[in-house]
Amino acid sequence: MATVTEGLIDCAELSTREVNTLLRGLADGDQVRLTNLDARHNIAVGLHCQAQITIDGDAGYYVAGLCDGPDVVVTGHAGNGAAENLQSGSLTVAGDVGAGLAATMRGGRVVVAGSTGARCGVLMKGGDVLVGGSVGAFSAFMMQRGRLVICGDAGEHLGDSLYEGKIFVGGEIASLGADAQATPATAEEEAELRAHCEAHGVTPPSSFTAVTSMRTLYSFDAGAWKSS
Amino acid sequence: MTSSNGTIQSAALALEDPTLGTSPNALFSPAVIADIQEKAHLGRYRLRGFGARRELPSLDDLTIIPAGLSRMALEGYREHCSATTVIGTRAEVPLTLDIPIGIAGMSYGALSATAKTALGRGATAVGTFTTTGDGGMLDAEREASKQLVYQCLPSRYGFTVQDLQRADAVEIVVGQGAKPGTGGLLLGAKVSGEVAEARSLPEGVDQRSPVRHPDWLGPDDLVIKIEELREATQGRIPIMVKLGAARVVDDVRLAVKSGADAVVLDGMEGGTAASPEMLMDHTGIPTMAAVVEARRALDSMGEVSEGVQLVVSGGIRHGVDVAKLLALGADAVTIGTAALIALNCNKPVFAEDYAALGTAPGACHHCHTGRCPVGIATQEPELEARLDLEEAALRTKHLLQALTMEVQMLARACGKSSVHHLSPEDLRALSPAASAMTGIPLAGTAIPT
Repeated sequence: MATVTEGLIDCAELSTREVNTLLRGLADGDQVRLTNLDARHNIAVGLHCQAQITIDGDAGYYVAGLCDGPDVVVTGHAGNGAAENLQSGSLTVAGDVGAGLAATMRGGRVVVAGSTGARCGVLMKGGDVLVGGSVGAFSAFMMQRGRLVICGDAGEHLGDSLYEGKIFVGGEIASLGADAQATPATAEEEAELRAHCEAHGVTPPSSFTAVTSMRTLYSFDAGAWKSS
Repeated sequence: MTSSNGTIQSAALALEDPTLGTSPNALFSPAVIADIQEKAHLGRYRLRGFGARRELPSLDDLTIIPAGLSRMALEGYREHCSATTVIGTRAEVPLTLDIPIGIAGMSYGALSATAKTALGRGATAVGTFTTTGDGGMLDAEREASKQLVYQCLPSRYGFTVQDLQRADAVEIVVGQGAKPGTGGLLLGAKVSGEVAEARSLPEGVDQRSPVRHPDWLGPDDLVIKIEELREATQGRIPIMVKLGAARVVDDVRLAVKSGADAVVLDGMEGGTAASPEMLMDHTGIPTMAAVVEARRALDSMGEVSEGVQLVVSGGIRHGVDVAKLLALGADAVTIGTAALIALNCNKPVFAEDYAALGTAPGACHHCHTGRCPVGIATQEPELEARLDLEEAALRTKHLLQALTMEVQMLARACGKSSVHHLSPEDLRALSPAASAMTGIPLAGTAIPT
């Protein structure tokens, strides 16, 4: 039977189910490092414990997905759907992430040093996402709540149909989605965002643009929806 | 009449046929004229609830052929006829039901909490399941339901790992029969404070759900998504995929290839609490055709689809529909609209409230307004109070019980000791269209050998 030895799990001979079963057995405050995962999908999903889990190297799809509590660190890159539906805890990725980062995220924090693919922060319902690099198209699509901070550029249709969430972009915005509007960040926001970036080891851009909802899509008969 | 002037000729015809002057145009009927004028007023497509209204090729075009001399019937009123149904047999803990009928997914938000809870209690009382919807899992619904299917929809409204891990099955919703290819709709009148909080939305917003899942796009990704859900639930419970009946053969094959333990297929007669009107009447294919295509698709996959059950829904009204769908290849069915009618939907009470909506009992499809006169499709406390929980649960139980008795009666008449022994051989078609759609021989065309 697989066990955790001195805070280390060598995953080379373990199935994904066995790895996740070991993680499910962690107690709050436990620290564990996973090795030899070879970018396997679905690692550290469905966890409630407030343990610290470090994945040596790359992680596949859905790393730290459906979690409520753990702090997960990926020292390499991560695949699509990383931290999807995260409720609390965190995911920190040293490299880049695929599409759908933090999709439907509800709470907690995600920090990505590199860039992400399309649909970053899609349908976010809460929480805080910080991307050191750039994000792909349709990011923050139908974002409901929470904050998405992008230090680099944003792809097309940023913030399409967003509700109450707030987006900040340091670089260029290829285009805004329906019902999204861009305004300069306030001095107070700039200061807070700079501190936020530095606290997480991310170099802040010289300034941020805030993207919020114009709320013209909130009501079916407001008229503006017809152009969306 | 000899004039070459068309106007004069028409006028003359009208004089000869006194009804012509008031006869409606077949193409631009009064209903079509009213529809055009309403859209000219609104400046948008029309919205309503309930489901398709047009006449469609239906299960009524099939008949069941019971036993005679060529096979022996079972005693209809007393002999044992099993209705036990198992869904998700590949999972560690499948859904094990006493009857072949479950309650389809309908959201808290579209329905009142009392309605959702009543459905759970009624289903539990007869040993079957109910299903959540596009609004998360209510604690009261969970407590009321011994077996509860948790829907994983594109919106993920109210979706939490805690609820996932207390579910008895997961249903990944790709589409629904009423509006395949389009997401859900909940108008602001029903987005109360509680509903808004459950969905993390602003109160009163006209909520239009996405149709594409946020974290996977195609079947290759779906393979990994299903594995993620299995990891989160330790492979304990079935993972099902729900499809709106459209491109049935390809979609069913892809769902199975992606790892679904069961396929839930919703025909175009399926209901909804709100939809653009034209989608309900003009998209998808009827349940009768869909079940046949799905069964053929499953059977064509050999070992890959072994142990994959087919659950069918969409316009099921009575045990006869259930029996025919089982005979055509369904392993189980779910009901939605019929269950709401059991709760009291369209009941002739509070007639003045129906009138205020511009409708009448028996014709109401105003679920989208949130002003449901009988307290089902509403979030208004004073309307919801009209639905007595205990009585509504009892009526749900009674309907499910009655439908099951009807299926068993028909199965016994065909000489079957299990409702799952019904087969296409127990059917005949009553119309060329139904015969062509199902492959069931047209009645009267059997050739003696």
